[in-house]
Amino acid sequence: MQNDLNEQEIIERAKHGEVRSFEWVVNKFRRYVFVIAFRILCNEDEANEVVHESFIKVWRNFTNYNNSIKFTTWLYKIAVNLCYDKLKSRKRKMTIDITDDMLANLLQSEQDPENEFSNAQLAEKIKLLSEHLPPKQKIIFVMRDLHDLSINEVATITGMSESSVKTNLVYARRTIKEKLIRWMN
Amino acid sequence: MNCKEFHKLLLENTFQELNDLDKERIVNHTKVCNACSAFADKNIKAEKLLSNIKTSEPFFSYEDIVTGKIMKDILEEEKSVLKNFIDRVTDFMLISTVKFSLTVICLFLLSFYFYQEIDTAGKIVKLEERYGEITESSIQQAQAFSQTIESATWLYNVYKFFAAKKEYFKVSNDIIVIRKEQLANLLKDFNQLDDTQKKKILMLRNEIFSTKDSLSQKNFQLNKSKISNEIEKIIVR
Repeated sequence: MQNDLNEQEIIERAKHGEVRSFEWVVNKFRRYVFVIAFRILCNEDEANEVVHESFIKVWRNFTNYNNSIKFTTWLYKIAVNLCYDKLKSRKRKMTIDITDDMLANLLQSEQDPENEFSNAQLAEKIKLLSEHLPPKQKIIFVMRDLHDLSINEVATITGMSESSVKTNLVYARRTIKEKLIRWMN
Repeated sequence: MNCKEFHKLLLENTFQELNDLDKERIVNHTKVCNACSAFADKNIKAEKLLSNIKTSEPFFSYEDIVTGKIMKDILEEEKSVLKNFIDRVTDFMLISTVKFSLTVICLFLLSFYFYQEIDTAGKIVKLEERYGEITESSIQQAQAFSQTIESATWLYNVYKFFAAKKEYFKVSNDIIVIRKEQLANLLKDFNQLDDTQKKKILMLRNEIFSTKDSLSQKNFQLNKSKISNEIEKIIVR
């Protein structure tokens, strides 16, 4: 069935409660949600939870989906909001004692661009770079610089103005780069 | 370009994002400032590091089972939504005022239904009466019509016969179609006659058919009618 229909038609069917089409939507977009959630939360288990909760939320609120925006944008909005809640609700701010090994590991990856990171390594690297950022700046930095979304898409997902997104991005980049350059010294 | 502006541009943007003019100004500044040149090298390394992180996607180990779990939860939720709805409706129906109101509504609907039925039945009766009038007048019209046209008379007699309003109809001068019951009655009447009467009737009957060829059609009919009257008199007597 799904081969004969285009993506938009299947999404439309899922919106009207067709379970098989919704299953197709989950299979198609689960990885997108996982990757962005992982990059924001730097935690595999929490990213898995976000994938699960995002699609449950999509199913419950599908009738509110407005076809004038891209489905992925709407889906990201749900996932990012869940990530934002998780970031805010973390009982204590995660602080990392940066060891020489960790720094060496982080800087080594620049030397070896073909290096394939494990999830734990990747999470550690992003965490090292962005752990001191406020949640909003962190989310904007991940979406724009690690996930390659446009400023306009980031603004739509976060519900912020484009200028506000740009300002937050500038602060985030400045903090991260200053930190990296300081380590290199 | 001064060093402050140089740092600001590099820290707040990726080098690729800068326009050509700013890129040129950055390059020119590194040629004249050693400290900024060293800073630019470190910035390049930092951007490479970020680029490596960007291209490295996490492995989604949960991927194969996530859809099944989500669909299971959704279907269970759907079921529980339906169950909750039924429970709420049942609870609502059990409230005494609701029960009373529903009974009143049901009775009202039932009485309305019966009123409709009775009204419809009355209308049907009226229609039937009207139809009866129409039928009666049609018969009268058909009778009047048959008196003027001879061929129509025959058809009218056939119609009356099949409508069970006549005991027989004549197909031709020699053939007559008669109902079984009527024939039985006639034979019964004939058998009740004495032998003299029977002989007389048979003689008169033979007389009718013996004159058939010798008389004109009109005279034959007159003769037949006269003899028939005589036969009828014998029977009635």
